Amino acid sequence: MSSVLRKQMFDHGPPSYAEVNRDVINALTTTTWRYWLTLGISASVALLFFIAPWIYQIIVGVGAAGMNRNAMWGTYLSNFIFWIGLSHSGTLLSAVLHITQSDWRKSIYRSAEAMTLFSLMTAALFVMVHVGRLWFVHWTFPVPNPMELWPNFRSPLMFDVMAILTYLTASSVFIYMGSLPDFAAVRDASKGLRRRIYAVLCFGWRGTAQEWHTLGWSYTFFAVLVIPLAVSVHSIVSWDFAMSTVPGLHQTIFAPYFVCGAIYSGTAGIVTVMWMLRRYMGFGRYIGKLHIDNLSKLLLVLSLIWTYINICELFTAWYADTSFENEAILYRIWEGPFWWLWWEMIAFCAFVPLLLFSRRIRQNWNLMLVISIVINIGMLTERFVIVASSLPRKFLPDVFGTYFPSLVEISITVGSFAVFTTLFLLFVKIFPAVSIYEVKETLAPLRKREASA
Amino acid sequence: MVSRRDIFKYAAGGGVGVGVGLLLGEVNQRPLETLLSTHIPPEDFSPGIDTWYNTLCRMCPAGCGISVKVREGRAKKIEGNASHPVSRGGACALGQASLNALYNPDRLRSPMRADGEGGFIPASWDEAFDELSARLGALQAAGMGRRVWVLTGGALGSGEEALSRFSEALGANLLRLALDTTANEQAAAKAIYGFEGLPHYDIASADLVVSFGADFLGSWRSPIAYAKAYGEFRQGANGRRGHLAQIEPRMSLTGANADEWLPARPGTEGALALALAAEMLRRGRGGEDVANWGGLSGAMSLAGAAEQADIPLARVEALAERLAAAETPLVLGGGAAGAGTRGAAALSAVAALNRVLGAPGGTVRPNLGHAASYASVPDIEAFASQAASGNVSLVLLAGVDPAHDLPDSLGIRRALERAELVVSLDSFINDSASQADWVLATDSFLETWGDDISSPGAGSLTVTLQQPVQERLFDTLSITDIVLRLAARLGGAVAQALPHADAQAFTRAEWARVWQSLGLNGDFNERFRLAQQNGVWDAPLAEGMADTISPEVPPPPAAPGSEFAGGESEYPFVLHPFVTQGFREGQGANLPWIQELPDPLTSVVYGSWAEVNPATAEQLGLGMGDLVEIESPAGKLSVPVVVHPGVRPDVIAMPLGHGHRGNGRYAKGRGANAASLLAAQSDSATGALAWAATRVALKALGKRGRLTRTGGLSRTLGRQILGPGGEH
Amino acid sequence: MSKITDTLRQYRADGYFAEFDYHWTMAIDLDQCTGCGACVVACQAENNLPIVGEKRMRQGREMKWLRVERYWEGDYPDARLSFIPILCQQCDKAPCEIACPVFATYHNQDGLNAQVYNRCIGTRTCAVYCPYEVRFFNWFTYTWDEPLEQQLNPDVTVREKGVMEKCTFCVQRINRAKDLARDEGRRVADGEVQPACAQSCPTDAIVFGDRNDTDSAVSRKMRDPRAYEVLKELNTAPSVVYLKNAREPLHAADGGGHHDGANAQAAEPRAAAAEPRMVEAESAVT
Ligand SMILES: Nc1nc2c(c(=O)[nH]1)N[C@H]1C(S)=C(S)[C@@H](COP(=O)(O)OP(=O)(O)OC[C@H]3O[C@@H](n4cnc5c(=O)[nH]c(N)nc54)[C@H](O)[C@@H]3O)O[C@H]1N2
Ligand code: SF4
Ligand code: SF4
Ligand code: SF4
Ligand code: SF4
Ligand code: SF4
Repeated sequence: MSSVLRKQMFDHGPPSYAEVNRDVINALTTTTWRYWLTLGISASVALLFFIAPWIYQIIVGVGAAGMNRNAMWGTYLSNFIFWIGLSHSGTLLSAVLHITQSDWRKSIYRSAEAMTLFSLMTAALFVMVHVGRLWFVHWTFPVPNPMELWPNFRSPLMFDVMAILTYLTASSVFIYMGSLPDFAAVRDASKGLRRRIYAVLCFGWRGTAQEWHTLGWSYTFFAVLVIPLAVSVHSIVSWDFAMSTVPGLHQTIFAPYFVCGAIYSGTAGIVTVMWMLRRYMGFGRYIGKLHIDNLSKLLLVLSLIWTYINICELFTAWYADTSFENEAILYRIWEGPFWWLWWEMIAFCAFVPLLLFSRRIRQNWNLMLVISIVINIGMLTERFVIVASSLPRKFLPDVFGTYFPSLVEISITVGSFAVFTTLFLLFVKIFPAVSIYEVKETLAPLRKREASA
Repeated sequence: MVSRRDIFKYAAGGGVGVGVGLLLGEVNQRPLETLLSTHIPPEDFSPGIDTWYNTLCRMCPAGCGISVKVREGRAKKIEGNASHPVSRGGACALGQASLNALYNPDRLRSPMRADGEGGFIPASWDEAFDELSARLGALQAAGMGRRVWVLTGGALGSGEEALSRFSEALGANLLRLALDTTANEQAAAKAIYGFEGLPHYDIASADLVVSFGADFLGSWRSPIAYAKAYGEFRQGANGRRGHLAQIEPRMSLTGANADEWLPARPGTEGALALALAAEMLRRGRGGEDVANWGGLSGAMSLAGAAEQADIPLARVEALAERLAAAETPLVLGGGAAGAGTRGAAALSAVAALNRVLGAPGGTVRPNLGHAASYASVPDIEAFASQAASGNVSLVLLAGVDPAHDLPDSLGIRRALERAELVVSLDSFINDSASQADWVLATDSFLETWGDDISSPGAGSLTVTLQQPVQERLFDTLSITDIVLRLAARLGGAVAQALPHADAQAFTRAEWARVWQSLGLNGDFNERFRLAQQNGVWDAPLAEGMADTISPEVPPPPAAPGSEFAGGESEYPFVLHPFVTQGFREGQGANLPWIQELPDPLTSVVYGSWAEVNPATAEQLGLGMGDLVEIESPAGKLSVPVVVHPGVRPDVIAMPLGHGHRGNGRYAKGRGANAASLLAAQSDSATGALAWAATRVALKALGKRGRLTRTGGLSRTLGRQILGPGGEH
Repeated sequence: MSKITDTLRQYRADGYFAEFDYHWTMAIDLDQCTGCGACVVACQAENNLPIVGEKRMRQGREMKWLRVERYWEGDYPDARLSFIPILCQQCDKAPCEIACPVFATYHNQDGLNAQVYNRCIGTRTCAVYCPYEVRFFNWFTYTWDEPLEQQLNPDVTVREKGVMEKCTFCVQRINRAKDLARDEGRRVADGEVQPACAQSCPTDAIVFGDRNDTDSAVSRKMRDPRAYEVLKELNTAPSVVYLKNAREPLHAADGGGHHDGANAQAAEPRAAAAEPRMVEAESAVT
């Protein structure tokens, strides 16, 4: 990377090493009342809107949701897919950028990876909210039992369980490993209990050459591992749908469509989180124009691919001209109760991102916040529309029905954002949200040049 | 600091508390019900093993033989009795759902007396009998037996016999009530076939069936027997798949299964049948017995009849073609076609067509099961006027709910209000019972004795035995038991007429009497045991019993069209009330399985509706489920509409049996009662209630109604669901 | 690995179930079926199906392992209605079976699609994958208003909330007949076992039996030229065969002189225009 670019990373000039340490560790140690307030609100919302209705649903049965004979799946499953989607980009992007040695990643990747982790967890929660008998959900694991019953490895849901668990494990290890030197930095900068905790968290990192060497190659190893994993996860999630014969779900294009959509919404999610970190955690110095510009370009490319796949889907359905396809598509985009959501999704995910052709818009943080949120609303809608407009009408018209989410479902959907936020708020107080040592790595050449000049 | 002493104290206190708690819990538990005695094993069942009892279904007058599966002393499942000539192993939805009446949460568990505030309080049988016999005794002593009215339904058999003997001995009036036009069918059979009773139609042997309004697959006469026959008819009992044409203004279940459905204008069926008969005569069909019929002078031309019936001439001609070519044709009439003000005449015309085609003797035979003779409109009006002038002292409602099932315009509800004492013998506080002073809780038919002479094939009588399949669930008695006990208390002539201990003794005595009269000898007990085992007794015909088709009868006069209550300009639509097999006139409404069984044509559950043609709906701006107000000269109600193409544009069709004011949680307040719209019209010849002769007006209320349907889109969208090669 | 693929290939091959003693099959003759619904109540009575109530019916939560579907053709006066009873087709290549992550639904050696209520965790994937929509989910734990529960069939379990259920071909009746036959050292005779729906059918439209016995009534029905499988194009290899209604095509039956004939032939009305949604918005929120 050219030094010009490097300089662009920091809107207000490169900080000194000490400043990096101070800024990042400060974010961990000094906790304002505003943080507590935000955490309190977020946790209460999670409790009230997510946990409470969930408990109610466990007691009365999944009938608390609006699903019915026709639509056996509803928002729980579409939200599950949304959150899995959001989890992409985080780790995936970080890994890709690490391998391609794109240094601009360094100040944003830590929180991006955290996003992956927490949206995966939220997604996993939705699986539990979705199933009818939560108390037996462990039967999806190959737990040895006296009946010698094993999970059904032919089931796309089993693929899911395995893919998501693997992805979750790999992402956790990846983010944890990358944080080791920073934990050590926090340890060194603090006293008392905090010091002892971070001493444990950093696995006794001392910063020897051997340690740095090992970290370097194993980090790269995981980066390489995580990329196919991420691709596989959302392919497999798409197969929950595509492996059925349901018109509107049974689409060969679903795997790439879902992967693309996942990265798309994940990238938009990162933009949102970047804005929050700048605004509330004081990381404006580390997350700058370069980041937002690059992320926006990525968003633009992804939106174009996404649009292309949507056109393909419509085109093949129209060209095949079977009753099943025609009815499914027509119902989705015109005749069904959610036609307007489909058009909203197209407007938000295909048209709004075209604004990103303008550099002025790309580099405007506030505008980008709005656009990134709009994209994710569109992506949330996309998943909902796929489920809610396909399942109620499958093959036999006399059992055609409809589906509307119930209050419980809407509440849990809203609450899931609070769950995610709460987890993220806890994270920024435990993990250095910006990678200290890697930001320093990018600073080193700059400082060398300054010194020699 | 807690001392050791304290610990003991707390422990002792806690122990006592827990003990008392447990004790209270025990005391508060429901007493254990003993199904199986551990000491005296019941002879007829072992745990875990099904016991099957053959008995009789009493949910409708068809009288199917059923087999009931009983486990651990409880009826579990009803199947058709495979060796019964009527049901031949089949059982309809309503018959099977009768278990819901047996175990109904709202079933009365003991006699109830009105508390004077619209409610009821439990009472004992002794109290009930004391009060009732005192009243009846006083009336009898004063020679005022005629001030007692016994209202009953159409059930036949020894139970009915006990009721008539009771009324007779008391000098009371007996009215059999139902929304039924048996009298018209009998009049037509008498006029054209020349026998008493109802005709039996042999659908299985026919190669062409033309039905004028008789929904024999849905609810007409004996749906199971006819459905069995229909199955054979479709399989070609005589080597050829039978062809079915249905002529009716609203597609019934039979119409839905027909090869052709001809939506004739209501009230024109008779003219159409007569025109077809004349056409057949012209084509040289018709044997010697109709030689004197000439050209059937009153008949219209086919074109004229087609015009009047509003059916394309080509379709009528095609039907004539088929009729002329058929080898074993069968034409039958019933339902709304026979329930206009000229119902008997219309059915005579239909029978005449049959006679011309030579069906009598082939596919039409006399049915020897006696048919209930229902009260005519003048009879009912006499009761109402007696009540109005304060001359009705006691009304005994024996298993009927006329306040719901019959039109308000007949004045029965008002009559019940005026009567001094109303006693209902029923299992539920239904619409009529809620007007009663006493409701005597009756058995389910599965808990008691009885019998029925049901619609048989030909050649013998089919007598079905009804017997309890389990112990009584509650403190109830059967109608026969109640009548017998009352008779015993009253003493005198009444007790002499009915000297039996209970329904079982009465039934056995009746059978013994009949067997003796038939000259059957042998061990009665053994024969009766066999009947208990088989559920049915195929009785030989006594000398001279078999009515035959008379060789010569006069031709029918022209059937003028039905007259409708309400002017055409004010009431532009004809109301077509129809009976569904699940609800009948209301018998099925308190059965949750029936409420949850989607209506075959519309898939509606839990509630009623009005059917309108798409053209009518468009005209009035109505969509599926929109609420409308239907008004007739006799009343009005509001109900959601179902739009489908199986109904004439000038007809509004409504199912009967809904809209109960009482009758338990599953029935109460669901849907609207179509019977309440009917004007008190009667047949000009027989006086039978003309329940299909009322006009109505329709008004959109601009709101959505409460319409629950299980079906989605009833079009195949070109999908090959009904078979390859497109739709059929 | 090859053992697994071999087994799968074998299982997917035509006639795999011919190796076993029985391959239960049902034939429904649509020319005989009148749509009366007796079979629907029979199934409810036999299999302890709950009474869900009006509210839940409105929410589209009915529990009917067997339903009679209706399809209209044409317009007034040349309108015609057809009925078709739909129940679990006991597919030999059942899409629902691959869907289940825990093997709660699987294929047994009699060719039945079995459902193990105890094992089901309620993901509802099987129901989504089933093209015939014959799987029913217990959205709640249903109860019976006392004393209706005294009717419950002791041979069949009552299902709790969170569990998927469906037509079993009345497996309790099959097992009883098989037990008896085994005790007597013989095969189950043709007609010896009847599911509740077949037994009650007043027109004998439903014929049930063993397809492996080529002389059985059901085998004979399967050889009828009218026999077809619903949604055959999905390759589910169903064990329910239908016999097509033998009525003449609608527009030949009317003698050719129908009015409005032109639009009666027109394309089927569009889905949304023709009928309203089953579940109204007001009932969607619980
Ligand atoms: N000859 C001989 N007789 C013995 C003994 C012996 O060693 N030899 N041992 C004695 C001893 S120690 C014992 S404990 C007894 C045991 O005798 P039983 O209690 O009769 O035990 P099993 O035959 O093992 O099981 C009984 C039935 O339970 C069924 N079953 C299995 N799981 C379930 C379930 O989840 N629900 C229900 N409802 N049924 C289920 C099985 O299919 C089986 O039919 O036998 C005693 N009798
Ligand atoms: S037709 Fe009537 S008698 Fe026969 S089973 Fe049905 S309700 Fe009972
Ligand atoms: S019982 Fe028989 S005739 Fe009636 S709907 Fe069922 S299959 Fe058809
Ligand atoms: S019909 Fe549906 S539930 Fe039955 S086996 Fe086939 S896919 Fe499975
Ligand atoms: S609902 Fe039950 S049977 Fe169906 S896929 Fe899930 S666990 Fe399996
Ligand atoms: S076979 Fe048994 S379980 Fe299946 S639909 Fe028929 S009655 Fe119900």
